[in-house]
Amino acid sequence: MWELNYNIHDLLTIKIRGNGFPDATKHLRYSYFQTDENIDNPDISLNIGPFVPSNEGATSIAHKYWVKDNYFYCKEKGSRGKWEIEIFGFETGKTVINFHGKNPGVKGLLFPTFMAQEFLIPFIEYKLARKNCYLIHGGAVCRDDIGYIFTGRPGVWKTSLIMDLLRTNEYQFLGDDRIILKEDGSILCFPTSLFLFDFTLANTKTEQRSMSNNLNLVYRILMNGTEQSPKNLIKKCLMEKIVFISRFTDQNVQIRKTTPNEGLQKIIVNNMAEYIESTKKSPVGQFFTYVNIYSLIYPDTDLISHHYRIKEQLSQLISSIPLHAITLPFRYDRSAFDIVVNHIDLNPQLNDI
Amino acid sequence: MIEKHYTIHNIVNFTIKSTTIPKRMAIEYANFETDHINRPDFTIEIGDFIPSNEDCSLIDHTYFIKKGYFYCKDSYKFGKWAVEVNGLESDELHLNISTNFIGLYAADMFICAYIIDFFIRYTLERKGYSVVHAASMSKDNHALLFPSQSGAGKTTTAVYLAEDGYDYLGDDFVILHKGQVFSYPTPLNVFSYNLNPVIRSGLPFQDRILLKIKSALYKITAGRIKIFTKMNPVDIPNFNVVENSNLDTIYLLSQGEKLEVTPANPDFVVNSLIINQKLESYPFLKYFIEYSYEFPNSDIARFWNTCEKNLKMNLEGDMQYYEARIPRHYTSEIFKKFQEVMECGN
Repeated sequence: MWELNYNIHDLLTIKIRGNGFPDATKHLRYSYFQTDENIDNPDISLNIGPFVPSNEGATSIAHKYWVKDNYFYCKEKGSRGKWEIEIFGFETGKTVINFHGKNPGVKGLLFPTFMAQEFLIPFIEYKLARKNCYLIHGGAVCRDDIGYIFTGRPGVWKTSLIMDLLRTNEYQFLGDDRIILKEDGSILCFPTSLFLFDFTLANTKTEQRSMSNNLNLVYRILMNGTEQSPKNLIKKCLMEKIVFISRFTDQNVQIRKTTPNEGLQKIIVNNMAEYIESTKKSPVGQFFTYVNIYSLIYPDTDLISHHYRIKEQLSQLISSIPLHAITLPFRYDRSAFDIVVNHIDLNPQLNDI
Repeated sequence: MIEKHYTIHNIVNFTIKSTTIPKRMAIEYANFETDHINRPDFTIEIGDFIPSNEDCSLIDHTYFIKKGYFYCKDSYKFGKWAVEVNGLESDELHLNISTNFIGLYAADMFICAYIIDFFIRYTLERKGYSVVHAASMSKDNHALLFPSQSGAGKTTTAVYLAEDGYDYLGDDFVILHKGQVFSYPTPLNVFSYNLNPVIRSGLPFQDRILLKIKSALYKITAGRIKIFTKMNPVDIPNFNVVENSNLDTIYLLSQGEKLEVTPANPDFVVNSLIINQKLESYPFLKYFIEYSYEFPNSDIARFWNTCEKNLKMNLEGDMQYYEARIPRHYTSEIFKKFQEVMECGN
């Protein structure tokens, strides 16, 4: 039995408990927020390991989901593993998640609790939004207290770009996958898997790690060399601009202005799309289904209207800052990076296209 | 290259081109087949193709998107497919689909269920019709609609009612338009759990043995291989398939400990129908949200709103709404009780 405590910017507390198996990598994902203090009444508790569900009296749907007031349970199989999840406090109050499941193959061996820890993201997003803080799918860097958010769908070189910006030693880091946007227009950092990020930053040119990199990584994890050095990490800064990154099959770098309406839609859809998979693969990708199944029985749940609500809440903030869209080519290289850096340095006023 | 034409009530017309039409696909759409259509709403070509992925936005190393265009490779269990859609949001829709051996053999479970069925529904919705995940049976031009999640007893209810002389409109999907139900007669998916006496007696000996083998295969592979036995409602002795009927009453089916029929709030039922539409639209629910990211102001980005609007419009009128809880083991005694409630006008 092990136990880890987390505090996210004094906004949210999380406790993760593991039972029944060792995991040398358990602390890696949210290491930045880890605290030695024992949290008594966490906003979210995640218990990893086998459990007996308390689904008596719940309505069964499609023979695999069980729903009752503020409660959800399911047991299913996807192409990347199987899982059994029970959630108390699904829509209100403190949330307790019991999670039993694993990824198949090497990933499951190396990071046995990864799938469970990843499942915290929608709950963190939802609970932060109730405090008018918005977990955005995107990374951010900062220079002289001025922050730039780089958002976009997965696989558009967001991480590579942010790593290259950090390599210039002129920028500070807030996150490469998610950041928290506050109502007052400031950005709070949300770095995940810092050890992996630092390792990749130090050892590879792009975000893709080679086989030898991965072997080296495994060696370091086994030797417990998992202390990260967030030397250029900053906790908070002001948001100056949001840059929407996309990747095109055959085009040169293009930069244009985005309208507030389009930008807002993209931010919302980008968050929603993370909870929808084409076919069943991972629990976090089934979250949209879970919320919809729950709302079959409880149609007025806040969970179902969450993204419409944050769209309204963010609209004023988004319309008050510059929104730029940059298309990167199929293959990311130095010249693409230079154009982006130039753009940030010169900070030009763009015309609508 | 074979070219086959299909029409659904002359509302949706489509053409499939392929070197061979897979057997299970031919069975799936047998009741829609026709010699001639004026203009297809969409055409589908099955076979290897080279996608036109130039000038596309590329998302997650997987989805290729440009205006009116979508391409990706995907897989589920043992089935793999590549799909290219041209002419989204236009009246000239063309699909290229390539698939592996499993995808071709079990075409009904992969390229039909995941791609072609979706485009039939997509075209209907664009024309203002609603497609709902429900069974529907009718008597004297009064239709009963039984929407539900998978496994709550749609097919079983339809089969029992057919035995009692009700006309058949659909047991999985039906079309709604301005208070009318239009039939959607695809084959019944029969598996060991919904094989009731009526169906069993209609099955040839050979099929009954096959059904046992399929059930064993399902157990051996821990659910990885699930092959339904297809039965065309037109061929089942006491089934009378009708074209359309006036929608009278909706019974939302759900799972329960014992049979219980209670009046339901119409909004609750409509909400259920909308959620069902979405959850039955994987993988295109995902494909469309990726397209919406690229084109936030497109028809595709508003597609689910359009469906919701259609549904509210098509359900206008004097309808009665009930929720019927059905126990997991749906016996003929339970059905008899359910039927009594239905027929005494609640």
